[in-house]
Amino acid sequence: MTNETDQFLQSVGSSEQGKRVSGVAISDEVILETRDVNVYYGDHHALNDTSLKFHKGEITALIGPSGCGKSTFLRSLNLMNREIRGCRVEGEILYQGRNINTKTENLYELRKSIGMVFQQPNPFHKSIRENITFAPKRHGIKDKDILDQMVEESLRGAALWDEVKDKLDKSAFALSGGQQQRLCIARTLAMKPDVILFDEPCSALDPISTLAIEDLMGQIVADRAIVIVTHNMEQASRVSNRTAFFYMGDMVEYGETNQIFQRPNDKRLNDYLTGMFS
Amino acid sequence: MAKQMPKRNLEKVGLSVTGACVALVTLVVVALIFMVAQRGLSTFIKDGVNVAEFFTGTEWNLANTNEATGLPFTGALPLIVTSFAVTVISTIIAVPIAIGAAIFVVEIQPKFGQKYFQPLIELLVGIPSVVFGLIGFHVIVGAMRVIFNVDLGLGILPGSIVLALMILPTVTTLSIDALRAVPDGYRQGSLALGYTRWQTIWHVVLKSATPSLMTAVILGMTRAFGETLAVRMVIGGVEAMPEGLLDSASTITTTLTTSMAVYATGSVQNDVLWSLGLLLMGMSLIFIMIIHLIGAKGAKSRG
Repeated sequence: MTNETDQFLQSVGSSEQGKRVSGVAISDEVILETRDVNVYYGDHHALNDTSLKFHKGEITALIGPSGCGKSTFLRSLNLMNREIRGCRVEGEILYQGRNINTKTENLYELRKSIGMVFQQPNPFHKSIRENITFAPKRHGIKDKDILDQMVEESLRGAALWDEVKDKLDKSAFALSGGQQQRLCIARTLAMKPDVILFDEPCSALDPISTLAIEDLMGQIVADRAIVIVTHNMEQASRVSNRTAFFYMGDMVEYGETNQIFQRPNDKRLNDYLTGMFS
Repeated sequence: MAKQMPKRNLEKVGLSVTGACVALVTLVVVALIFMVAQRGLSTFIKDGVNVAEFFTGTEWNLANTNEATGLPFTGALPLIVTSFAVTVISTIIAVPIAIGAAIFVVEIQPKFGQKYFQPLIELLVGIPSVVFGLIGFHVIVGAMRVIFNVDLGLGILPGSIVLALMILPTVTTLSIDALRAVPDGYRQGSLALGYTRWQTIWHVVLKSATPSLMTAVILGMTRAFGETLAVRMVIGGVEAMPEGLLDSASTITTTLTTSMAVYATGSVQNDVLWSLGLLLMGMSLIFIMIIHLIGAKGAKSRG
């Protein structure tokens, strides 16, 4: 490993430790809560009665084998599932105490408050600046000074500013995969969301970029709740305060991350953690 | 099999057969361009027709001789104007419909699109242009007479409508491909930022598909510019500057078909028809170059 990489890893490790103690729950303030959420794709019952709470200042990891319903659950939280034909979400999803799983809820306003970052970095085919201002413009912000300020704030927030400040008008596609993913996080941060949902945000990235994203999550979680779906057990144990284990459409076990990884109660979780299946 | 051919020989045969195909195609293309250029240019070099007069003159009359120059009237501007008019108007009619249909089948009802709409569109591609011309002559020209209360109903407008119908399948199919090629991540990203479905289609899907959509439009225009038969059936065939959209006119292509068998090879009149052919080739070359430029620019901005 090169010297540079070494330094980077050290800085990542230290800043994370400085800000947060991972694996220990620290907050009582619930921002988002689900009560008996069920999801169906046509006749297929993909998720059974899932009730979870997401706390301010905490990262919650959703783990489990492929097809266990964790991504389905994540996509219910900002009702992205509604965009899929034939998908039905039942149960209550309470954002700041208000049920949002209703016919009258304005999803498009709601998604300002509940942001989402995807598996594959998906910046728009636009400049770096326009990628950030895309959403604020939709929500009615036209003033150039305010937009410029938002661009800088969001990019600083996503630890990307120093790398791109001289090429804001260049195409976002000129960035590396890890930078693109941080741009997508910056784009989400511009809306100052209370909740950010991460759907396997690092599975398309190299190890260094992965650590940068994990570090970033630790920095931005302070005044919001973060929910992350991940296949990477180590990532879940590194970044999260609480963990929920899903298996075949059921939320099997939920608890503080330390407990989940060190003293799992459910046999299926234990088998999963010890690599009996994946 | 009587005798197995040695492998090395077989390779040589393959090489020479495919190589010969390439040589043949190249030869045909080069010979074609050379021939059209040679005949087309001799109008100006050998026969002494003024190039500027050809492009800007407004009187086209091959049967009569201009007393002043001793040459037939070869002002091609009315034909050029008519050709561009039918091309542009038919594109303006066809493109919104094509893109609208593409949005519906890609973004709104993908299953319907794949199962019913695309086979239907493909059927439309296969209809011979004479059928379009026939429909145009009996239905569209008739409708023009009724709607606009004119005597003939022939001219640029019915020509453009017939052409619009003809290029519609091409432009629609290419637009569908263009929208399908937009990565799903863009749509998801946009929805997750609070854009509605329509805002996503408008600001993200169409925006990022613009280069491919432009290509679709220009390919449609190329086809409209070169189409002859169906246009000939509804445009009236009067080689004069059209004074309105319902005034009988004649495009470059229809003039070519009307006059090609009338004049002897080597006559000024025959040469000037080759000049029209050269002009058509030049235009299609320009269209193709634009498509390549768009493609190159798109590739560059994708990094």
